[in-house]
Amino acid sequence: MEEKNVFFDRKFVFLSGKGGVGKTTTSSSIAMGLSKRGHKTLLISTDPSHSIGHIFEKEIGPKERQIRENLYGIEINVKEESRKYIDGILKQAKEILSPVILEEVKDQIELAYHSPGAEELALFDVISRFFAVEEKYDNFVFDTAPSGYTLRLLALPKALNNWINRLIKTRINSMKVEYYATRNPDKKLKQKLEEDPVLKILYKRKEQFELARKILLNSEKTLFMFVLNPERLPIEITRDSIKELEENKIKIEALIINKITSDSSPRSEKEAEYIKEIENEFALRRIFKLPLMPEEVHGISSIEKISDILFSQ
Amino acid sequence: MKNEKRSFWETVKLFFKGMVIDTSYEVIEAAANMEKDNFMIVIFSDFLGIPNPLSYYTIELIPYFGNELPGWELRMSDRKSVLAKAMGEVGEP
Ligand SMILES: Nc1ncnc2c1ncn2[C@@H]1O[C@H](COP(=O)(O)OP(=O)(O)O)[C@@H](O)[C@H]1O
Ligand SMILES: [Mg+2]
Repeated sequence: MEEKNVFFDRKFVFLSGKGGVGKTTTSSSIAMGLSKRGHKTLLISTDPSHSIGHIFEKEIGPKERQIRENLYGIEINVKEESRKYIDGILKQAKEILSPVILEEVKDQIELAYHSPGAEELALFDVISRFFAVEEKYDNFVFDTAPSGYTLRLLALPKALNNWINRLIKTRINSMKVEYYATRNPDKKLKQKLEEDPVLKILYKRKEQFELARKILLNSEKTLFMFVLNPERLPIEITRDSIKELEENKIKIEALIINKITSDSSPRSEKEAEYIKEIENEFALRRIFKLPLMPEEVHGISSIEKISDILFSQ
Repeated sequence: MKNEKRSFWETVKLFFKGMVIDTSYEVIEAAANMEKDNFMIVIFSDFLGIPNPLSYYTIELIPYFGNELPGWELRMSDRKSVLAKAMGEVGEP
């Protein structure tokens, strides 16, 4: 029943799953299928190793590029984006701060680049950039998803929201008091508040968090899928991940079992058992099944093949 | 002095309302510093040995507060108790 396909009415599709299971391959196929059915679709890849440029045999890179009719692609290297962000802060610091102080804070800025949560927050920055331009495409398909940690922060209304609101309040209070401590202020308080670069940054973050929350927690707009292979370990990982996400109000609505062998080898029989287990365990969710392709998945025609299998289920 | 019984904030509020005659600018300035200190604790928490899970985001604010770092560090070593209060007010997520 093609019209009922779950991909059509979701603006944002995210694929989770461990490395190598087939996220980039299946997200390319979903995007291809949507574009073939007249949806203007953007495929977003954050995977530097197995790029969509390689899959579509076309140079894509960090700027949106047309792949075929209605299909556009963009490759974003999260580490590079993160570096750009840090370098921007260092540049700003150099302009404002005295050399002595710059020395003191430089390390702290660098350190944040390597801090434990940095990569996840950098990925979140990359993903949420597209939330602000959602009218540009009918569908956005990501070969990744925000990390469990990020989703948890967003799902808890008290966490990020309260934190940023309190920072804003403290900043405003501080500026107010400072204003009244100034004998001859050069500007009105209102104008000072409007021009404050610190408040600008805080409001920008607040907006980012609010928009992301609105989109990621909205299951009418957003689809989270899990890709896994028919093996023992992935089933367990999937079970744990789904449980964790659903505790945070993120629903994984669909699973893709990828790389299924269908000869009558012992391996194939074992896989059949795992597939049954997956179907029982995740009975309430939509399950797609994809065969292991005999040849390397490479080029538009092989993606079209996978796409046709996906969209016929 | 009556003032000593008031919290900084009460003093400031009264000042806004024009109700405090004997409050000097110095008092207000101290209050301003305290507000700023609270904010700077979040940004420079690493200097105090408090890990900040969102440091990747708060470093963006460092350029705007760096020049006040020496004064802040001085005041912080004076007022360790400010820390507990500020963390209670601003805190981490
Ligand atoms: N259904 C499939 N049949 C054959 N090879 C596949 C299939 N799905 C993925 N692959 C191959 O597996 C490797 C990993 O796939 P990829 O989509 O890059 O995974 P991920 O993005 O999850 O790391 C690639 O070499 C890809 O060509
Ligand atoms: Mg990938």
